[in-house]
Amino acid sequence: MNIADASQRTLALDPNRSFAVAAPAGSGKTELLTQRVLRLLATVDAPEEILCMTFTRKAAGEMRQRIIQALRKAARGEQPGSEHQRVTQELAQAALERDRELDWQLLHSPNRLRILTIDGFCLNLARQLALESGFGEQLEPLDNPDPHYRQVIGELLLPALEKQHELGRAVAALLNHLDNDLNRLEALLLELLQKREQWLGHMYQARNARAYLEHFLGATSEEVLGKAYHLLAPFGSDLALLADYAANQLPDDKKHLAISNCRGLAGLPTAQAPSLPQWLGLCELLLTGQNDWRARLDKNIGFPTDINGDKTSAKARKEAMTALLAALQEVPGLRDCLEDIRFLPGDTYPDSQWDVLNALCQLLPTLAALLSVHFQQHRVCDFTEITLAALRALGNDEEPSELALKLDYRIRHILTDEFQDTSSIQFEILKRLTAGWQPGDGHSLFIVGDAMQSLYGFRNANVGLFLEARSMPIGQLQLEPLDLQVNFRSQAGLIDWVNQRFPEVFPAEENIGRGAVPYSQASAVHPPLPAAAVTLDAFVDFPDGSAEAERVVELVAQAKQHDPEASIAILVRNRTHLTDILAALQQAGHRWQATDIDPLSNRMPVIDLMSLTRALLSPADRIAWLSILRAPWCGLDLADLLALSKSAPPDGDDPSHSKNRFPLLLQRLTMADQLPGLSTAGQTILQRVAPVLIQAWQQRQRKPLRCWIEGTWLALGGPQALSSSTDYEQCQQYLALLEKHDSAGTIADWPSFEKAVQSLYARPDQNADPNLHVMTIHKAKGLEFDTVILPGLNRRPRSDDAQLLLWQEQVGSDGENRLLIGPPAKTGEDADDLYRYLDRERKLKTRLETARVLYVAVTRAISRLHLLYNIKEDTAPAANSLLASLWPAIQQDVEQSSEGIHCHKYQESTSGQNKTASVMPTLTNIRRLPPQWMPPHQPQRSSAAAEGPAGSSLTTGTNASGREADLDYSARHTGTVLHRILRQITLEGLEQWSQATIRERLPFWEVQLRQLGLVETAEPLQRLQQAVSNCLGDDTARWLLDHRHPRSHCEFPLGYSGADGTTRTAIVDRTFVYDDTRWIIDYKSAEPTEDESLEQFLWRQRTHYREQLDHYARLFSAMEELPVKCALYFPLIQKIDIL
Amino acid sequence: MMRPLFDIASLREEIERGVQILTPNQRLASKIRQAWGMAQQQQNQSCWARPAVDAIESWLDEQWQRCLDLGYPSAAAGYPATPEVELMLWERAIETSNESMVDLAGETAVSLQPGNFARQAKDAYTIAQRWQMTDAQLTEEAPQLWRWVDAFRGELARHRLITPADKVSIICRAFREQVLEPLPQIHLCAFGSLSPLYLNLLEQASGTLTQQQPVKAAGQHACKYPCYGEQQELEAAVDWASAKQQADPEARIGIIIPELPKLRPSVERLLRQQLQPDYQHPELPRTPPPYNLSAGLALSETPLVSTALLLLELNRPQLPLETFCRILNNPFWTDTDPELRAEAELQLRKLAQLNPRSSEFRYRVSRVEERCGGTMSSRLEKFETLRREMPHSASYQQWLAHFSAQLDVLGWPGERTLDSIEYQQQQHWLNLLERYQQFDQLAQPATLFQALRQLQQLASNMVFQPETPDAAIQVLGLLEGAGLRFDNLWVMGLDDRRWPQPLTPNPLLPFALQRALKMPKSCPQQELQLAQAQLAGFLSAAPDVIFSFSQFDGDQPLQPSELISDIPFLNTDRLPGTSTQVPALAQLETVDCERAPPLNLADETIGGGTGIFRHQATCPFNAFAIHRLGARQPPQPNLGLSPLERGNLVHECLERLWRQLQNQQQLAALDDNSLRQLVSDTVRTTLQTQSKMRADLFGPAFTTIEQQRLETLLLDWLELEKTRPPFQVIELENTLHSEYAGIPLRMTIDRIDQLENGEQLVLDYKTGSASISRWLGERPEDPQMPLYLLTREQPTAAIAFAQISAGEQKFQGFAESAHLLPGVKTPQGKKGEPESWEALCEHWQQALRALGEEFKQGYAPVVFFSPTARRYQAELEPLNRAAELIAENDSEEYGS
Ligand code: SF4
Repeated sequence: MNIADASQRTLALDPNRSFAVAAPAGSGKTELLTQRVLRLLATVDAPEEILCMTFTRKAAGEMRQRIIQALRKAARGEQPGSEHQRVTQELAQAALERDRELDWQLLHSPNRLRILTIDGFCLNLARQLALESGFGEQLEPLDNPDPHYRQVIGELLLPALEKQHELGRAVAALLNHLDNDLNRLEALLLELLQKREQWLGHMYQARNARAYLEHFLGATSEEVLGKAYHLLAPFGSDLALLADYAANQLPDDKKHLAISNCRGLAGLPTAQAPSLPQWLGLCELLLTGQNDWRARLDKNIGFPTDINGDKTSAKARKEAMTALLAALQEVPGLRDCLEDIRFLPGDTYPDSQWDVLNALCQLLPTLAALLSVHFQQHRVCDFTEITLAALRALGNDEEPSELALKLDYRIRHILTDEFQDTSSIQFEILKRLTAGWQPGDGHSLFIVGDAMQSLYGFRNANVGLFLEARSMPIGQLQLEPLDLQVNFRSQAGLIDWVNQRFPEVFPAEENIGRGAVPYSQASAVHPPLPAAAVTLDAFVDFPDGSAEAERVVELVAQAKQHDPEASIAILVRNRTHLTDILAALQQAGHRWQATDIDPLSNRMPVIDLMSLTRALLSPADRIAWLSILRAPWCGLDLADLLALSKSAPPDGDDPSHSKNRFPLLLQRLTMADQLPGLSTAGQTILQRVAPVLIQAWQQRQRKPLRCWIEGTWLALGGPQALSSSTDYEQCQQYLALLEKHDSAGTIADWPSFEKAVQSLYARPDQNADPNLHVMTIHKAKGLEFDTVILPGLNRRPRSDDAQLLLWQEQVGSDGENRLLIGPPAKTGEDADDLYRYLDRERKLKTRLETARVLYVAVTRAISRLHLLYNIKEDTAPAANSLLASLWPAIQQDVEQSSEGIHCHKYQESTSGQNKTASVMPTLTNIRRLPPQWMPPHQPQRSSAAAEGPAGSSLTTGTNASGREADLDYSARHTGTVLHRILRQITLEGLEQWSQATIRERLPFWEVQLRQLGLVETAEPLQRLQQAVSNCLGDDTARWLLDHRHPRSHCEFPLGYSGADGTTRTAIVDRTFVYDDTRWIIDYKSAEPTEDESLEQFLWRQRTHYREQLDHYARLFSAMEELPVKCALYFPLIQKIDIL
Repeated sequence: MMRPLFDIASLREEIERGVQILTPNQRLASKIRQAWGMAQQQQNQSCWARPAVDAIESWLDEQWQRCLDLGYPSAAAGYPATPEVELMLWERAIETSNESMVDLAGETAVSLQPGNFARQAKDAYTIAQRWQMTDAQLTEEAPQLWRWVDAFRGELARHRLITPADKVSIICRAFREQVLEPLPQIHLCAFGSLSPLYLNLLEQASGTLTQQQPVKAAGQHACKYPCYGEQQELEAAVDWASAKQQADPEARIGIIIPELPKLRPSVERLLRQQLQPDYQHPELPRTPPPYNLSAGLALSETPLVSTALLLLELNRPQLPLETFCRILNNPFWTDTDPELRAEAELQLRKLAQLNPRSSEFRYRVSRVEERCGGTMSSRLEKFETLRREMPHSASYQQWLAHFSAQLDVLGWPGERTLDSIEYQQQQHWLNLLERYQQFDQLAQPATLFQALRQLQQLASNMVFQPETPDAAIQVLGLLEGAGLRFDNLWVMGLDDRRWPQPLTPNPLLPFALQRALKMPKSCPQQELQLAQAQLAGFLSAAPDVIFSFSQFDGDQPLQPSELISDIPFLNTDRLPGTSTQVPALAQLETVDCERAPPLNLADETIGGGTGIFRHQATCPFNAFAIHRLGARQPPQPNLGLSPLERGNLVHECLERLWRQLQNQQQLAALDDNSLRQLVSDTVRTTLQTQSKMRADLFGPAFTTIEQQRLETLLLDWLELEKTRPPFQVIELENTLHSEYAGIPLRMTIDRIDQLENGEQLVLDYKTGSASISRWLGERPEDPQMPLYLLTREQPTAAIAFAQISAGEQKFQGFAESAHLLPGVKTPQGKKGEPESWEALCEHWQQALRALGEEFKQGYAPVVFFSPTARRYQAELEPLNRAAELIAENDSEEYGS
């Protein structure tokens, strides 16, 4: 097969050059990346020198799999199937050769391939450069860092405010601005912390923050003005002349118009921000208030019909202006550019705004630093922190050689995929990684992306960066732009359709700042299929989405009929757009693969389980307790529920009579059998349910959280009361989450848990049709399907939350990265210019992103594409809907009813139902297990489990605090050391010991005592000294410690069989044979207490240790046939007690 | 009787000869000794000499003690620091070398957290010592680490401490100098690798070092088994293990889980479900597990100890609301009367403070106790007294005494009888305390918060494992199975990401050096060899081995390790498939819930209020639930003032103002300054009284800002009042008890004005947004103002909201005549309004009577007459079960 862009693809494998590849949908970029990695492997010294970064973990996994498979195939010497594969195979072979040569064993150690997400890479980097990044201990990335942000904010704000230093004044300024609404300030700061990677770098750079930030304002203005200047230059003098004329002719009541700024204009104003007033004058002259070209010139804008009676010259000017307007209308991009001027914010911040911004500039860096510290203290982090740490680790103008020394392997080649979704901070990391690289020095950078497929603007992805990377050098490295255009995915019919329509969907001109790109044409490899590749169903004036849903089902059926094995995808922008369609699909008996479509927190069985969790964790949670009494495992009716929980009328003398008090439900359940007013059914139910709940509550914080809740749920009959196995499956998902959040048997952070529950989605249905997929367009990115159905084109995306602070990072046409921040208006006042400017830019960007979302959606299709929408007759599509993007391209098709276009008009009679009479959905009953229901199986209490929960009383006895246990560490440790000393004396021979020996050993004993944990050693040492001295002069001791006795042992370990047959070990302090008797002696370092006589003491010790010694005696008698004598020896009091 | 976990025949000869046998860990040593004992038992020995089998670390400890016993001079220098003391010293060393880190562009220094680097520094230095790097090498190759090491060594010396590696060196020297008598032979069992330092020592300790050779188990059979994901892998392993156990009660079954600490909860649950299907039932008490599992729980995560730590947090002046609630719901202190605790929780939550003060907490508890009785409050007071007596700084031992005394007064560990596991946790706590005191070895007094932090840290570094009898199923981590012998062995996680394992070299040592010296986890080839050796070990550990791997980690595809490519796949039908069974569903019955019993005030009290009508209007069930069942949720806590609190401040200020002004005339008569003064004074007095409600918030600075805000707001508002037709205020914040449609009402009317012609206007202040359109309709969503109108005895000429907010200041409402008040209108029949004032009043009368009647009759179906109301009452969804209605429709319209 001859491929149109084959030469580009070959070029892309050159290891010595760096490229920026534009790879539109279906262009086979993964294969290209794979091939390049293989090619590079053959040139490097270690596989770790190649770094390949992908957007998702899934993509990384797939990429790695591909490379390994290519290597495996090559190792097995498999024959390549196609030309394409032949290239891969050859590259793989060369790589394998290198592997063998350098003994990498890549196939065995695929970890050596560094294919990572950018987050994963940053984490590695931060960990490797621990000192530079400040990332010592591993910090656990959090799913939901919000509570930590809030904690840091809360800990800063009020204390700072009250301390009244500089920071405090900043907080005060902000509070004043926000109507002293601390909660709003918190929300504002929260949002800023979440996105701090966007502004933090700027905040640090700004030594003089105001000049720094105002510079960006100026630069932004100048860029737009410069463009206008350029476009208007050919008409400059005429325009200036006419503007000056108009300015002079303005009637008195119109002098306030911007046109009057043009008085005295002789040429175009300069493209500098200070000329903005004149520029605005020109805009006003040329455009109407609605930003359309002026069609009418009249005296209100300075074109009267006569000038002091001179009609001719007035007419001439008017005509000149009309002609000029006509000419200007032909200049592409001019109108847009003039409109942009009208929104320009000027080049300074008004003081009032600056005060707020200044306060933020002071507060934010501190906040970010505190957050860092907080994260480290709690050993957690968010992804931004990782990225920031990586950036920190890479340092500033780092010499590349130094970086290479610090990392475990020198990075020589970097490949990154999906570059259009890179954020500026990630771009910065790439810049620093490649700092000092030069063309031809053995390094290469290879970036792949598609500006038409950037979907993550909301996550701060910036398409502009990709455009920048293609046109401007990164450091000293100029990437060569390559363009792939062949589409290996879709049939020619589809590609033609897109090629024809999408130039109109995308903007005509590139604009780096806004990330606007024009459409680039694709060329097909697969021949066209018969019949229309694309169909379009328009539903006009339908009251709801049911007709559209029916049609979707029809299309699915058609596709299935055509080829049962082909894949079908229904793609929508938000999962909420699926409600009708899923209902219709279900009704038609389809089961589909859905990822992240069905939120579990809306499922009643899951909600019930959650209520059960809440109730057991807190008896005060009344709603939860009421809920579990209404859940299907209990299902009390309203009368019973009322009888159980109503607030009884107060007794006459109750002092708090004015308030009604609802009784604690847990308490009421304990007396459920005596409650008046319960129905028989209610009584039966509570007899079953109440003991389970009470028992569960009593046993709280014992079994693991999940076990506890799940067990209670099982005992209540929760699973039996479900209505399908899907429900059960979903409950299991909830329980798994519960297990994750278990902290000492409860939930430490309920809000985080709740948030985690909200982001639970039903798992893909195992029995679903493997070929029918339902997902969002974002999820579908990178996937392909034979048939793609796009319903609900008319629907709007979720509206962005109102932002308190608008800001924007823009890449200027000069590559400068600019931060524009618009503080919120003071509470109760109107938004200002800058805020309006930013708001508009944001909307423009959203519109551009909508076009890209549409592009991604339609390019998922291999053979067929079906578009559907609802619309009202004669109305334009809603702004920001996909349809609005598509509309200019298809309006004509629709009007002409071209092939594949179906227009459905709503007729009252067709639906048969009168829409005004629609009934409010009402729930008048609940479902429950029958009252007499009994669990199918009662638990078996094992006999070992005698220590069971008590009856139904809610409180219990008392516990010892446990502190009477042996806390006299000193005596215990002294004893331990004494044992060792006595053993040592025995080994060395008592005759060798003298007072000098004791003095010599004292420091060692002290070490031994201290090692055992004693801090105060003077007194124990003295006791030891005493004891040993005593021994030296004591005959009993001499005899006892004499190592010359036969069969003598010290600290003798003895194995024996325990009563239950297990093996155990005993340690005998001292034993020997004397006089044909086996002596067994235990050393005791105890002393009589003050109020105890020696006899009492000995008696106490004897009774305490007799059994143990008897046991030793039995052990010895089993080994040898000697009479046994046991004794206790008390070295501190020089006493032996023979039992 | 289960078979031993070690094949003792292979060591019989060595043991009988009395050879010292060393193992890498305690587990193996004890299993060998156990196997020996069993062999002895089988020979009918009831007693035998314990064989010389020890874990290398305990053997080293003994050698060290011998050095001390002997008075070996080198040993007197110091003694090895415990790990936690060592960490503390590292922290100090790093702190004193005072590193600060420069952030991003070098502007702000983020201080480097010593606590975060202590462990890594300790690890790095341990490795450096074990790999026998010299000081010179360190200085040159890792200058940063060296600086810390230098400081650290200084600290060590100051406290007469040494590192564990120093200890090994000393022992080594003792052997070399023949102070310790070299052993004839040392036999090493199951060591994967040994560091140069240890190897050196062993060579000094004995001229004859021998290694145990792995013996391949007879009838070897190994296969691999793919699973979808990690959970499925676990389930399969557990199912398999329990089947094996049933088939052969004497069998020893091993499950090796590389990420055991992370997966522990799931494994434990699955094993319990398999082995004790009823265990979850609340009626069955907790028991020790019927399997052995090598991972434990951090002591700080055990309920008993975590409670102790939680209670000690009460020493802090402020804590998060949730923490207080957790304390209240915790069974391990004082008595557990749920009524008192629940009420205290509610009262505390009602304050809606994010971080209440501890004093607030004590106060609320004491207030509740006045009603319910109990000892909690006096205990908390005693705790507080003890806190006040605490010194600024003290030794750890002293802190321990303080903490213990505090826990005693709080009645920790509670009055519920401890079960055996809780008892063990209590014992662990005592161990913890003993270890805690060792910090005093450093002779550095600590402040309260330092002392608490160390306690917390120590508890999280200690591990709790309940005692379990020996069991057939052994669940072990990757390294813990080394040398053991099983009948059946399952090894999890053999995907190619983990076999061989990814490198994790220590970042404080140069990577090239680590590779060159073959330090652990730094060299790919070494890791590969290690992985191969480990696999070989597993293969010989049992006659029947299964290696499993996951095919997916989330959505990321995984592949089996190439290392097991030669091992055949398991014949799947051999694996018992007992995957989770869905219990049979029961036939449910339907219960009618449209109507509750009618309201009978003799038998039931309801707190009257306009809310009843409001709720009945939007959702009858919710009205029933809220007002008759008491289904209310306390408000969400706020960092700042809630909208309600902000509103109350305005209300109160205005009440005070008008009490003084009485009428518009007086207002108009004040010049600017006097008015300003009046407003300012009023606000000040108001804040003085009201700020007590939010003691957490109202410091001097915050108060000043709030004062300014209120002044501006009120002055603006009074300007508007000046423009009205003359009036006088006749009622302020008057509470009215009445009833409507048989429902008791208790209402507070913000203000009633009387105009010169005697007409009366009812006003309600709104400090947020407000809309009078919700007064209208069949079921008025906001019927409060109409109810005022209907229940007042005097005729009312207008009802209106007075909207007072920074953005908007205006009146809106309905009136007999629009001239009565700027902004109000008379109904004109437009947009669903009745034609006239009279008609409007008539309409209200009917609509509200109907609502009242519904409520009284117990009419309570779940139906939402307003989508917004549904959203606002979302907290009732678990109770009203609205999710069972047809899924909520998007409010979005079709078309445009
Ligand atoms: S893999 Fe080879 S080159 Fe790399 S560290 Fe190990 S031994 Fe050295």
